[in-house]
Amino acid sequence: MNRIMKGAAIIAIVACLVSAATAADSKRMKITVANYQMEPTDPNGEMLKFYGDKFGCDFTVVNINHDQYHELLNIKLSAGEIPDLLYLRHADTLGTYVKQGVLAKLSPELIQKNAPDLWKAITVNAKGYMEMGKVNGVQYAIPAVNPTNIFRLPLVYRTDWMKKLGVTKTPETLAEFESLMYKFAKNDPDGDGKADTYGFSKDGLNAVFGAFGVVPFDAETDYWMLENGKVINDTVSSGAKQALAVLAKYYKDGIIDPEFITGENQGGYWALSHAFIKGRIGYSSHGNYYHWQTAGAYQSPQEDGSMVPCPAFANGQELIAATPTATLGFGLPLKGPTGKQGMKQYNRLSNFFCIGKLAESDPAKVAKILQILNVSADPDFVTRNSIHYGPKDKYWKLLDADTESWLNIPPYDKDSGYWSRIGGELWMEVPLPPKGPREQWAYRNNMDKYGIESLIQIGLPKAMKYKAELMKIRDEAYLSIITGDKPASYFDEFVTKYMAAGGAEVQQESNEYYASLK
Amino acid sequence: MPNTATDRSGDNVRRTKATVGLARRYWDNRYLLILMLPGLIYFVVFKYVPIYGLIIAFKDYNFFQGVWNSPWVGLEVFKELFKTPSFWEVFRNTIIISGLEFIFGFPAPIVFALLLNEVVNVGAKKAFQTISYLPHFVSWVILGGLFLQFFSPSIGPINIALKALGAKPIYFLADPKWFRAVLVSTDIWKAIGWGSIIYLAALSSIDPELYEAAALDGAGRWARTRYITLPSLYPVITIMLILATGNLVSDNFDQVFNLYNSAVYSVGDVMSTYMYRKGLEGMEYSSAAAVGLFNNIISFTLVIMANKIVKHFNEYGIW
Amino acid sequence: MKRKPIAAKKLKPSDAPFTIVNYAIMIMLSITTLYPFIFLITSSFSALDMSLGGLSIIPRQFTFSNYERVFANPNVGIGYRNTIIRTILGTSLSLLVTFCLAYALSKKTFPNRNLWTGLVVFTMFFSGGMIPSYLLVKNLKLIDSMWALILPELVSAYNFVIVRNYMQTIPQSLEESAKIDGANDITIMFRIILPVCKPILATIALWVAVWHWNAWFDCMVYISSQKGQVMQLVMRRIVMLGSSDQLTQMEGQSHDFFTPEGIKAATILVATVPIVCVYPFIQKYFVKGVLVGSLKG
Repeated sequence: MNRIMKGAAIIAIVACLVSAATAADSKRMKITVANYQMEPTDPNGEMLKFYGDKFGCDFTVVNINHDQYHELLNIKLSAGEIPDLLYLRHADTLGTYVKQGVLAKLSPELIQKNAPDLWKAITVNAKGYMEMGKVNGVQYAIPAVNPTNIFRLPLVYRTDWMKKLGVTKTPETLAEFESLMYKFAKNDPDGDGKADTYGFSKDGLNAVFGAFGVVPFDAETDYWMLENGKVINDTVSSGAKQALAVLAKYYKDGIIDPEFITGENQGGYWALSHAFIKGRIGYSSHGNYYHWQTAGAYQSPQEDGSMVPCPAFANGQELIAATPTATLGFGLPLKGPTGKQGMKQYNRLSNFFCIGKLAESDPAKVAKILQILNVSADPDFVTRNSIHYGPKDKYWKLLDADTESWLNIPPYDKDSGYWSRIGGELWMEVPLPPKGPREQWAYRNNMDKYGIESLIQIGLPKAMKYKAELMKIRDEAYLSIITGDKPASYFDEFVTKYMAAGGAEVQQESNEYYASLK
Repeated sequence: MPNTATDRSGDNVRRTKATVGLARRYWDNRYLLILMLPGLIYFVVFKYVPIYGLIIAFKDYNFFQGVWNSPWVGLEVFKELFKTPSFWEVFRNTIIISGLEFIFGFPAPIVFALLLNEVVNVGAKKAFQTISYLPHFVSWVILGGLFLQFFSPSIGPINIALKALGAKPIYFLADPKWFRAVLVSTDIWKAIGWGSIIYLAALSSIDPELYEAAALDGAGRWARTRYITLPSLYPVITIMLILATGNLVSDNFDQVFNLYNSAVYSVGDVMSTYMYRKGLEGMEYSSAAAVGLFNNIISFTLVIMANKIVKHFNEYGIW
Repeated sequence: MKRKPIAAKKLKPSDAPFTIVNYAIMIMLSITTLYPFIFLITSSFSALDMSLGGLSIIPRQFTFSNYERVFANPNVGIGYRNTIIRTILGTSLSLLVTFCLAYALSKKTFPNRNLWTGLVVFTMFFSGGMIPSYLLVKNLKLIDSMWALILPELVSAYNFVIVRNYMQTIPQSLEESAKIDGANDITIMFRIILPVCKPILATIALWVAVWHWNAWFDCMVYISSQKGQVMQLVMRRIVMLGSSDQLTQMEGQSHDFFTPEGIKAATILVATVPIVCVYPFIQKYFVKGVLVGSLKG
């Protein structure tokens, strides 16, 4: 017991010493930062020192665990601890924080002046996204736009099954898709003599919805679109209605895996499609494109200039492990009967970066924070990679400048959280076009084409308020139509119910917001 | 409270004013008072000082203004909550699922402890006991993945057995008729070993001579259980029963969240999962506080009522 | 019927069906409850994702590398140290304070006994929530201190009620002889009540220890330094890394952004096995006839 008490006392003393050491040199500007992190940051982190000297200020990283970020941030805000630079993990929360008065006002001019590279990177590569940081016309936030979410979901087929069934090319239209799916389900593509295969499962629904130009059934996100000049939720669109009728037919004919409700993944790594790997279905769009990478799908440059084939990953790896003769191929999004062609693409808006209210009265501080953020968009790759991953040649080495390929130096290659410890939190995500070999491979497979994005990606107050309720109504209606519990004509009744339960209010709000952007 | 103070103080209490009498009684119990003090200080400082946070349920909570300065909204948060169409559905689901878990899940560890008590071989008994409490340490995230396969219509062992018997496979996790049964049975399975520990502790205080005497009288296994084992468990069963009534309005978020899907919302969506989907990571402080308060008032009332009822049967209640 | 006292413990022919059924139930239950653990163990020695092995428990590509990775992580050592300290310190203090409080309030002679008990029970249902608690801990200057993990949940009202209830079943006669000898309440509590309460205290100790061992949220809120992280938090970080929830936060281009299932399983086991092993030690306090022994002694 005594020893334990001593241990506790020592920990306390060490903690005191550490905080005392950082308190020295009080003349410099102090900036507190709350950003995404994998591990708590060392107050004396190498990067904090380096950039502190560079910008003439002292950084304090507020350690907030990534999962439960907002809950923990809010507790600190309640105690009056408002970070000077804070990131909003869920873009949906911006409105709430503005309403609560914890964020400083910015302006496009201020950002443009102090963070020109960042401004350019966002406004050029992600048009319209800077405006998403506005609430009631005032810029409160800089959007972090995901650079690789320019790629839509993949459409993946079992090409060895196709070959066996005499189909030579991946479907391009819904009609071709339909004929292939019926063959997958009815013509015993695995040749085991049993009727144990289906066309597709849960994630396959997206292909059909996409052929009607909609993403109406996403588990977490509402997608918004323009129909007849009005902003509407994809969920109540005419495209969704038509797609549901098609899906109900497929389900009735045994084309859709009857276990689609619980999904294609059955535990383990989330991106695995067990149904696909185990040869139960012949089409999927589970995960992202890189979860379907087979060995040698593309070549990666090495330090010495040579090229090596990439390893297989996730589904690409497991499928071959389960069935060595299996092959897979990517198809284009399907063209539907109404001429629409598309596939779900994740929102490119990831997070927001904001400045805390307490810094608002100090323009020099605001300017400095923006200058720091600008480093993340520096034209020089080494500079912008260093602010996140530490100095080059100590933590990482550049393999190839053209494709911006780099690799962590051991032991950091097996230590994914090291950058948080040394203070790599002065970084934000910037939508510069990705150049890596894997992304080139995605371009070659047209992953950047025909993606369906949501017109509105932020959380408006009414949409937030009714979201859970409306999604519940939607899920119940959609499932009952697909499984045939209700006829396809039930859709109109569902829309009436949906609109009455708050859908109409949300739609009006969305139209007003959209109009205000013009 | 009747005057049960020790003999010495008896006269004093009658002679002096009530307050002085009370002080005197505390003085007489000064050693107990010293023993109570650390606990008392703890509850005052760590439980009663922060209790003002309850008022968040009656305010439009604002981080910047804090608990005290946020504007009052009276019962607005509650009204808004009760108006939400799904609120009563999820509340009903919560009560039905908790009720079933209470009916089947409360006796389960007791029965298990009794059965374990009948295992004569000490080594086997210890092994069963230890193994049975393992699931308590496995999180629902992991169990969720395993149950998904276990209950699968195509590859799950239950359905393989059903199909072998010529029955139609059941889609347990997506069938509203079965989903609650899945929740209740997996909950019992996970908690049975862990829950039995308290009863096993109580069983250890039974005098073995009682069993020997009963055996001499020719009492069988059932008679011994009925007349010796069970009565000695009454106090702990009573108190656990009272405390368990407080859980009738609470639900198990991790379990439901990892097992449910939109096809079973109508029977399986509970308060915590609904609130989770409604408010991002606790952005809705006031409604979360209101739901909490609403639940706790019901729990508290239930426990007090259970305690009252129990008092008619035995003396082992809380008060 | 003539029978020796010991015969009661022996298997009688009439008991055979019951015993067989009982063992069958026990074995079946044990298989199902053991399964998830075995699955985790297999998974931790498997290089590939076990979810694809169906419900099989044979490793897919046997390897030790998962454990090598886990133990190479410097945070695991830090986490272990903090968790062990908080568990031992927290459990001992909790037991002491709970026991004293329960004893005082179990005495019928104690004035306003029901009022005090009521005040404790009240906290089981009503609390101010996270924000006032954080402010309190901050004002007490406990942030980043081990005490922030021990003091805020020092006594559980639930455990208090159970210990107190157990004490009330102890026959009065046990204390009376000591009272006559002039012993005070504190002496009686430690000399006479404590030995009798061993089984219930062992149970509570197990509950509190397991609670402390598994707690992470308080550490997340009150401790911000790397050196103060507890094992469960270290484990959570490893296990949650690259879960679909973090999709929106695309971290770099490397595949290392997610934790493979084998490493997850190894981490979970490393974080769980020590506390699971505590139970057999607790079991020895569940010795038949504790109360009887004290009565006679």
